[in-house]
Amino acid sequence: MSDRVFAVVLLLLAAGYAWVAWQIEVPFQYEPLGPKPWPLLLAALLAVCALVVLVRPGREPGWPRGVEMRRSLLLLLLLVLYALLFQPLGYMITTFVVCAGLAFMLGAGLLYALGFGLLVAVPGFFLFTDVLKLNLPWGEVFR
Amino acid sequence: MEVLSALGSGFLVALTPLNLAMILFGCFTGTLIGALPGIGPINGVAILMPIAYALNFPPETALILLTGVYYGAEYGGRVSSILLNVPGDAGAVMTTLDGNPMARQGKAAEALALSCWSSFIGGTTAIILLTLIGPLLAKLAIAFGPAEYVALMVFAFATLASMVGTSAVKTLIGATIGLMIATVGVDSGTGVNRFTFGSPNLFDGIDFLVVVIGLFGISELFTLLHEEGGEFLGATKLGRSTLKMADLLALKWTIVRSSLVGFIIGVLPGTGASVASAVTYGMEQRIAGASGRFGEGDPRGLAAPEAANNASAGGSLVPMLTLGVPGSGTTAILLGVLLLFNIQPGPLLFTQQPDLAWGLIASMYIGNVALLVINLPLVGIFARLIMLPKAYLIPVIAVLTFIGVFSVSGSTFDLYMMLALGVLGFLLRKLNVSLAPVILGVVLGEIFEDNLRRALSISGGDWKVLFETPATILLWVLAVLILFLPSLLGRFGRRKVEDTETAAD
Repeated sequence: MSDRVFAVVLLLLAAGYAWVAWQIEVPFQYEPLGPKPWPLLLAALLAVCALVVLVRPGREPGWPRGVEMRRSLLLLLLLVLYALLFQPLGYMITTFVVCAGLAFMLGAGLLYALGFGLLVAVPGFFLFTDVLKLNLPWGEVFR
Repeated sequence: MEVLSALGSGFLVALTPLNLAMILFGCFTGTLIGALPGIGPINGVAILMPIAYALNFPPETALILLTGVYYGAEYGGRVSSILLNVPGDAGAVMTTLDGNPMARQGKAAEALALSCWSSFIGGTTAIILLTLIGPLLAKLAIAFGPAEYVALMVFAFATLASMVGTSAVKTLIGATIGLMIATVGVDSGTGVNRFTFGSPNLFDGIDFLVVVIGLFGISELFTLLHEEGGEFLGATKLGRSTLKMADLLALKWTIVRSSLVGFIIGVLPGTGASVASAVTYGMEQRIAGASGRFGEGDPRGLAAPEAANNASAGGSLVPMLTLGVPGSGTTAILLGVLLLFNIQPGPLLFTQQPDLAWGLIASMYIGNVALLVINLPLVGIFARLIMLPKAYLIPVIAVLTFIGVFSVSGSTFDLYMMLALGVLGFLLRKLNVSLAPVILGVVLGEIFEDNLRRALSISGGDWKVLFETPATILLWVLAVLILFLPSLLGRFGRRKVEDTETAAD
């Protein structure tokens, strides 16, 4: 079943991709092929592969359910928030929340989780910015 | 002689203090990453790549570091295979079959030492062959024109489809998705926007770094979350058994054979450690016949895949350095690193960037010795480190992926893109589409299309140009042959591979 859904999604993707490729307008072109045929070729290839999967789907993968599913969604939510707030709140605050939150969710003790979050957030920040000279956000709120 | 003097100058590059430090650091970190259950070379290299790039190292240093992580991880994969019965990565799956039974019979230390020596011999054999074959192949390939490159790409994807993953169709799907990702952005030939939907963030295409980190780093987080075995895994005690010289000598032919076969499989575009170890395991099983106790702790079943997966790592660098076509998923990432530094990989690399090519090769001689020295005495430490609980491991990886993308691009858009690609990567993995072909598609997409368009420009639109020279014909024939190879290999333990996940390596 999953494979059939996957195949349909791929067919839609191939169709959409081909449609967008078809719209490409080339004002001038000095070569025989140009930028359009290659994407169309790829779309056709993907469509053929998707049809094969549709006709002969593989066995059902083990999807996460129950606690696992809730955990993955929570992880995804945390990561999206992390991305959203990374620049506004800065590396230290967001990293502390993400590290402590994830560690706690995955079974570390509360104090351990908080200590771990603090370690990655504060000394981590200076290790990455001062010692390794990487570019990380201080946070717009501190300005 | 020419080779020796070139190699000598390579050693001068590799032995500078910074490069030497990076060899040791890369090997050590790689072993550690490989030893952690579930995180293999490709994820390790993917997570560390942007950091190595952002540190402003010269290209050869960055490449030496990441390559060290690559073969260090191939070394480290055996630790959790043997002690936990959980493969450290896809290439170490076969190591569990006899490695863990040996450990359960109280011979854990012996098994670790044996696998360490097999890895060392496999890895060193591969580098010697790389030293000898690389420059020759590069000389041959200098004559390659666009038509030959098109045929070479087709051959590369045919190899992938026939040898990687559980189903040829799904491997092709992965490769096509990768090729599609590569089409996003301004077309270099005409300056036309393709698939950018008017967003300036997409004009330069989807950054290779973001694709790699998303597909391998972020999807790894979700996979780790779901892996069976729970938070705590029962490790077998090390014990006091030791490896006797005579036992190692008794395995010499197994190790030599597996090293050679592993190297050849590594050289084939797209196929890496997981295929190499599976094929050699099956091969040794056949050769041993009734005398084998494979699956019950036969040392041959441990030595063969370990020699092979390290040899394949060396082998997969051959096409990357000489043709600009990666030999495995991980070398696809290394190739992308070269592109980030604006170095065009290909046959001219040996002549135009000798410091880089030979420095890298020399660094691998040093690295292999270093790995042996690190691994024999320190195995006890690695054995303890693999017990690092997921509760800390997952957040650390998450933070590293964010640091990696942000420190290079500084854009929130790229963080979202990374997360989206991560979810895509996780879904693809769950649906048995391995990710190595995707990344190969991304790396090769532009080169593939450019060469096709260039070939047709030269011929004025005549497609026959793709099948005219002897080299192109040979490559097309090989591509067709390799598509039928699986039915031949069916006798060599391919079934075993299908039960396990031949994922990215």
